[in-house]
Amino acid sequence: MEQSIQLVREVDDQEVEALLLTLSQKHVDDYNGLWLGPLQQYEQEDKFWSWAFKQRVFLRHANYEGYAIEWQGRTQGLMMIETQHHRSQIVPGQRLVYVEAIASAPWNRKTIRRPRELQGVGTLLMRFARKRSLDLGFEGRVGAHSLPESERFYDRLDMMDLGADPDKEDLVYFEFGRLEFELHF
Amino acid sequence: MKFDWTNFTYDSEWLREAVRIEDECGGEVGAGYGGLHLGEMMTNPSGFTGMKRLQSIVARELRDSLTALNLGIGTEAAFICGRKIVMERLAEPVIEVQEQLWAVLEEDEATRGTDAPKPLRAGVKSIIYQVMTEADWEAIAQAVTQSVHRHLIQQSQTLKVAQAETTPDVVAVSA
Repeated sequence: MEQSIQLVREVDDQEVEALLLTLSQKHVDDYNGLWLGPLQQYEQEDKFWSWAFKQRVFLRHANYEGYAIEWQGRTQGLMMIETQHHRSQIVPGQRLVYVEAIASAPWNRKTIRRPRELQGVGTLLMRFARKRSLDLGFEGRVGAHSLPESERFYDRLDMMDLGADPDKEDLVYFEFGRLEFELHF
Repeated sequence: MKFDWTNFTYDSEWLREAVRIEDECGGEVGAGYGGLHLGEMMTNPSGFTGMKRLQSIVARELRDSLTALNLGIGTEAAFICGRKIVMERLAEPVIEVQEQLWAVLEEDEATRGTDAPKPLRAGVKSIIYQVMTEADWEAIAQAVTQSVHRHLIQQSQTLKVAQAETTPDVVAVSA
């Protein structure tokens, strides 16, 4: 999958052409090589449980889809979604696309760099998650557990705030319901 | 303002509005357990989410255990300290503990979205008590003590300020 998208370069407020594509090893390499350093300045809660990977082989990858946004050869945003096992909390039983992880590159975050390199990365990735939901017949339903600093963003997207989830370390769960093709942002 | 869902295209007005909203909210869009482990997540999504789910179950059982101890204002401090310790203790546990935790995860996955009982879940509390040392509990006790101490000092200072603000009025009325 490769889709052309437009984003805004903050330094001169110009619209630029970027690519939204299926996750590949290049993006994982960019994450490890370019993102991790700046991100490591920020707190890390848990030590990695390496045994979880050593002891078991996980083969059920078919239900996961990964996407990345690239601009000028660098990974600008990443998203991993799950498409089979999650259900709606708004309309119990209805299937949805669940956002396992979404992140923009460190240089696209206000808390790390001003002006940011690109604007709109997160919004476009979330928008694409919703499109995948439509494509899969889930009527636009998307769920995500927001990190604390992003709650305002998901609230502002008009996702329903379903409260802190004790099963997810009290991260607040947000959900897009069925997409009505009207003026919703 | 136009967004075409079929072709995933949009006009400039839509993009500018999207950027404005994102900016208004501070530009932070992070969601999910990605964090600093996004590399592992992308390489092995099933394994990563399973591991995070397991950590979440352990954290919840720890919180329940500490809440049951009636530590009052110190409960949150106990949880923050205890969680850090437990996660460290389980970073490389003995094989028996690993197997127990895998069984808990499998039970959780098998009963996801249902009200089915989770009998193995109760065993997580035993694992927590099993892996923690006396020194770990001492550390939690200290965290609780410090939290209560801080709370008490803050409250007393607040009361002192409130008292100082009301005293002159009393004098003025008396005069």
